[in-house]
Amino acid sequence: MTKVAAMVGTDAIAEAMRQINPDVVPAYPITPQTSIVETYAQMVADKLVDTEMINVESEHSALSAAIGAAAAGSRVMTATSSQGLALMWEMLYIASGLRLPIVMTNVNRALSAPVNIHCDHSDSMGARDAGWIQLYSEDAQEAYDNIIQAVRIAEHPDVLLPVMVLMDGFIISHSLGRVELLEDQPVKNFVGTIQPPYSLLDTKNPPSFGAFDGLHGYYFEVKRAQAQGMLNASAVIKKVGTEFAGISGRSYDFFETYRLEDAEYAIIALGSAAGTARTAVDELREQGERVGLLKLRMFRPFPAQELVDALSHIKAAAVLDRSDTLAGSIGGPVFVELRSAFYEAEKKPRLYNFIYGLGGRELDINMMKQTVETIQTGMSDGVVQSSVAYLGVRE
Amino acid sequence: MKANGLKEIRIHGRGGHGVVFAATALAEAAYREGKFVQAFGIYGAERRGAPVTAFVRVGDRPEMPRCQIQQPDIVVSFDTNLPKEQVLKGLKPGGMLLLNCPDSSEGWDLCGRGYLVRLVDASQIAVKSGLGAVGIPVINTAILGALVQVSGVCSLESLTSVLQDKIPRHMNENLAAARGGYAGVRELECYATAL
Repeated sequence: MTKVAAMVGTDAIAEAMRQINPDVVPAYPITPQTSIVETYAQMVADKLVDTEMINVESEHSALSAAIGAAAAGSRVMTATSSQGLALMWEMLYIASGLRLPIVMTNVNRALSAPVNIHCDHSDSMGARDAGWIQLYSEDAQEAYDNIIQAVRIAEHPDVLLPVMVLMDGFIISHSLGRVELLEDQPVKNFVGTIQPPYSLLDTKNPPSFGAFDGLHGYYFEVKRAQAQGMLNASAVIKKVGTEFAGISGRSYDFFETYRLEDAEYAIIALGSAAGTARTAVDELREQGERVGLLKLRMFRPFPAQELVDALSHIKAAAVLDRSDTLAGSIGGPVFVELRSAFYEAEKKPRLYNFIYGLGGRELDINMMKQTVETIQTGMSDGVVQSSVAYLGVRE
Repeated sequence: MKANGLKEIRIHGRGGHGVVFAATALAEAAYREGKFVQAFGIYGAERRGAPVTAFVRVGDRPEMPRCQIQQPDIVVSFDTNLPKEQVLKGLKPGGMLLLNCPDSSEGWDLCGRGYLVRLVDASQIAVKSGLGAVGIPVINTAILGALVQVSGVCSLESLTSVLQDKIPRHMNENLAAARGGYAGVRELECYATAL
């Protein structure tokens, strides 16, 4: 059973949170995330949920409070954007190092300077090695669905890692769209109740979280175990994605392909750009071009082998990055990791990187088609100017 | 209408006009008739009087592009003092322009371009409906009524049901303005000399 609504992305997230009814939500406002916690605060005030909402004085405190509450065995959620995520930095690593299954929405927004409130992925991509699972959303529907699945993924005993659900600032967060909402009870049944393996409040078996244990302690082993949790997450994400179809009719995988099977060329994108890419693929197909799309949903863990398998038949691919590593000529994070994944593959496409949309710069259908034209030209005349290009920048 | 059944509408106005509200209300009305929709504004340092643009897509499929609308099927202008080039940008012959103006197109020189031009005197309708005053009318619901009439993306009833849910104050005045806008759409007459 589903009900349908027209809502903006931030309201879809708040609605999912209402249905999940977490124990604790510590939060601090920041554009464009603010409306999530604003709407949620109203739900708390209206007693639609039993959540203890903690109004803190910064994002650093928001995640610190989340960590404390999660270590006590609570189900904890929060949300942030951009500078807020940046201010959470040291706590991000503590949340994952303590193996606390916190679920956080990050509404993607550029990082200062210069000051910019619009969408790019610099914030979450900067946190890509913080030990959090990352699920990107094309639209409000996927953001809603991802949040519900994130609870199950984070709390799975083989995983026990925090999950970040990403949604493009303004493009999705403040865009009204049709969202199929589940009834409350199926969501509650799906997420179940949290079963924390340890709790700070368990006085009979008092645990210690994250204590200093010296040069000869177990730091390395803890990190190795954390890496294993991330490795285990793949299977859990797949299983939860399939199970989710049972209550929603919508199944989720590491990525989604569109007209890719017989394609010669591919666009690889994550987030809202996938919607625009799909239209470009359709228009190019009408002109007889064999082009397909791969939309990456799961960036952490990075599904390297699955991506290689899905793309090995492609001649050339345009890899879209909405952030830059600013590391010289190696390109954006998606490109760097995808190219690395193909290193040992026998059959591989030529990969081109297009860095686009920084600070909310518009990416339209024609620009998307231009990427395909560029990689086609690159393949036919054999002259490759550069593997990394900036799309839509004013030169 | 695009080949894939998508109708794309771009709305131009000024900060304080309620442009983004108009976009979301239209989308919600179309959604209530079972359509897939998308509505969004361009956000920045909004201030009263500055040009504001909002976008509406209405279609039969959930998948939609996520960019601004470059080639609109319909453009709406809340104000004839807005930059005309920006309003008309990407509008192809056969495309429709809905303009808020009292009489002719107030020097916009629209004849002979192949546009379907529709006029609505939303400012007067708004004032007559009791929304604002002469000089500072609240025009978005009157324009919404006209936009429903010219776009056909939903019925007037769907729009009024959305307005009833979304507008807390001056309900009757806004409903009257929407109905007035719907009934008040005129075609721009082009005389032979203009062609």
